[in-house]
Amino acid sequence: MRTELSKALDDCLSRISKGESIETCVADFPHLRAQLESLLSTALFISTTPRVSPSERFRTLSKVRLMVRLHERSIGVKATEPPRKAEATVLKVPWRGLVYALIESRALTFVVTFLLLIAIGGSLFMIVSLSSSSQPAALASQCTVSVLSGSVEVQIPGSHTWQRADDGMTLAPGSRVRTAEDSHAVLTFFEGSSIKLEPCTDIEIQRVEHVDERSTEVVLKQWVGKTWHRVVRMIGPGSRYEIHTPSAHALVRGTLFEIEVDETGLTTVRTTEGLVSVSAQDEEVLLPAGQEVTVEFGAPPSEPRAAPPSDTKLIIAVSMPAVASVCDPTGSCIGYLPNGFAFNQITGAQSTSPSEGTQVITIPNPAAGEYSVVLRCIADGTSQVNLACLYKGESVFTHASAHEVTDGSAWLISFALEIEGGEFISAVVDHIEPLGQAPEKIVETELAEASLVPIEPPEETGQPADTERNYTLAVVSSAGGTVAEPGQGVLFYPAGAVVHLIAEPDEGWEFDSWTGNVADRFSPVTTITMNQDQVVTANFVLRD
Amino acid sequence: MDSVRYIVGQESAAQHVSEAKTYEDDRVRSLVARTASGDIEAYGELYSTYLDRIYRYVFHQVGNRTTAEDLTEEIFIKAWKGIGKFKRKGRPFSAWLYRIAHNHVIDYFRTSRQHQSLEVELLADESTLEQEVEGKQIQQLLLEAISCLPQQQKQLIILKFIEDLDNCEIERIMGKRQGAIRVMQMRALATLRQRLSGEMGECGLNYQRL
Repeated sequence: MRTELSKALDDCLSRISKGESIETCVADFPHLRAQLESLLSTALFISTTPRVSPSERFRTLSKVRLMVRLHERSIGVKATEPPRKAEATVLKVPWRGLVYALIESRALTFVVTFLLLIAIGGSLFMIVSLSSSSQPAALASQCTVSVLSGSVEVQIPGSHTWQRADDGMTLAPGSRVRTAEDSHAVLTFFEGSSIKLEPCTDIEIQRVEHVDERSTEVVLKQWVGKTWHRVVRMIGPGSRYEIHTPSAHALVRGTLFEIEVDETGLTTVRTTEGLVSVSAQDEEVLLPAGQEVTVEFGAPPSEPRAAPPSDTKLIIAVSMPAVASVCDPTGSCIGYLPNGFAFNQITGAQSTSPSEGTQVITIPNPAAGEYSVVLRCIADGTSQVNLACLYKGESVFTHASAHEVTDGSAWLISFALEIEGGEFISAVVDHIEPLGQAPEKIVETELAEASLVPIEPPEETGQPADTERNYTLAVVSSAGGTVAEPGQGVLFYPAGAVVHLIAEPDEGWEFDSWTGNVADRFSPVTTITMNQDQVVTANFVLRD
Repeated sequence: MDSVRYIVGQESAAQHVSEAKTYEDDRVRSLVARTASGDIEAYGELYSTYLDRIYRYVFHQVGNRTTAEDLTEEIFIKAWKGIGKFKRKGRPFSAWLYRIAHNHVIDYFRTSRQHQSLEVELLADESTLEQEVEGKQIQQLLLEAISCLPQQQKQLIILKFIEDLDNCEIERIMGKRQGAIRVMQMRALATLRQRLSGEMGECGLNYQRL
């Protein structure tokens, strides 16, 4: 009976798949009718249920990943192990050494390799310099996760499953980290470098180790998403900080930059500080600060171009004796600690050192929401806090306050930014209160700590006395130059003061114009009269 | 007249399917041969051809989108490594690929011991809200019922009714004779019928609804 029913069922299934109806087929097996109808309708139900498909994102991304992995296997280049024989060359022109080693191994037909290299002597004021003499003899090579907001998951080596990442979790090489929508995380490496992961980013830690007493290696694979890197200057010649993307390899020796990888493997590199060399398919371009380059899958890098300007900019200036940090609504922070420890988790942001007298923190394209400014005071005195919201170089909102502080005290100022359609709607400074729980999630590594130089209050200068201040002057510049006189940042002047301005372009750039109420917009040497709060921007362009 | 047109249409469609299948077989054969000689881009085309099928097969086994994605990627890497062996055995590529997928899923269950706390989740589609809700409920019920089947019955149901493979292809993949497949198919459908009509209780698995 069972055999007969199973045969009749199979026969009907076959006939129905060719267009027959259930009724017609069942009619040929009258004694099995009831059982057949029941089983056939179940089969039909399964067949007509909507099919599950992989997401388009996975479809595209996984193919790119597969192709890259197969290429790595076929050409014998292990992404995690750059060719050793190239290292002697690395001392002089490391990117060429690696490119040649790859080319020697086999002609690359599919995988694009591009390398980023910070030029020696680039201006890097956010870098914690590492001193070889102060480096401990033995250090743990590790990477620590900080969950800033939302859902962050990790996959430990050898595991098929993702697990929730906990703050402070230490990751071994081979681990992967991914952020969900609206989620942010920071990875801090033992040598002091850090990466901020924006939402929907997937990154793999391939190698984190000491090569020798003076040199460290960090090798990462960014599968997709956006990352913001703050790479400390490496002193050992064998040191390496390397990022692979589906279409590229990036080799860095110390800078601030961001990497964006889309689902087709298209890689965009944008430099915020320093000069970067980008090579792909045996072609090399130099990428100065404020410039970006794209590398399409299988193509050489594009011509460098100016990074899109940020229409909105938030500038916070804090004068000594306070050392400041700012945290944005995603929990990402930028600033300094009094021991000299610097951190930068906000994509595109920069901070000058508090040692210069006034610490200026610039945040391009700020997110809407609650911000906090932390003031840690290193002496008794009055600290000025100035906040300016700029839209296309023009000041939209400004706020200035002065705080009597004592050595060792710490304060928290909260403010909220309302932004709609890319424009500031309001900026409301809520309150100032003694600092309770520090809002920053930062990891001070042993190696980074060893090189810290505590911040000292500056000596008295001939700057305008605070009591004479009536108006605020915010001085900023675009990429390609600086304002040499009176210097960049937020400055304070009495009403009616005439301030001299001198714009100085970097090499390869020229002065274009001023934005703001200056006497002569098109002269690099001009003046501005302080009859109100002013914001002035020096604009530079690449020389032809 | 209508009936005549219907029959002509049936024949025409059958002929078209047959021609398409022959072309597909030739194309796949050629891609497999190129892949076996190290052509990565040919394997990329094979990947695009079989990605949906392998993903679906794995998803119905593990019931979790993320795990299915990870396992699918690993299966294609495994297949690349073993493509030389496939050439020597001379089986259809799809049957060989499903076999690798099946073994990999079994390995996954063995190592992660996830099968006792299987989570079944659904994917959002682009239909209207009402259709989506109704579709999801039906799909959810079905996924749950399939997940409760014994491993081999589950494999058979996925291959036959979700992947639309014929008994010959299933025979090659599962390594079972036609008679055994027919009996297993009948038992699996009977079990599903009972479960979908509520005649059977929970099978003890945890389900995750989206």
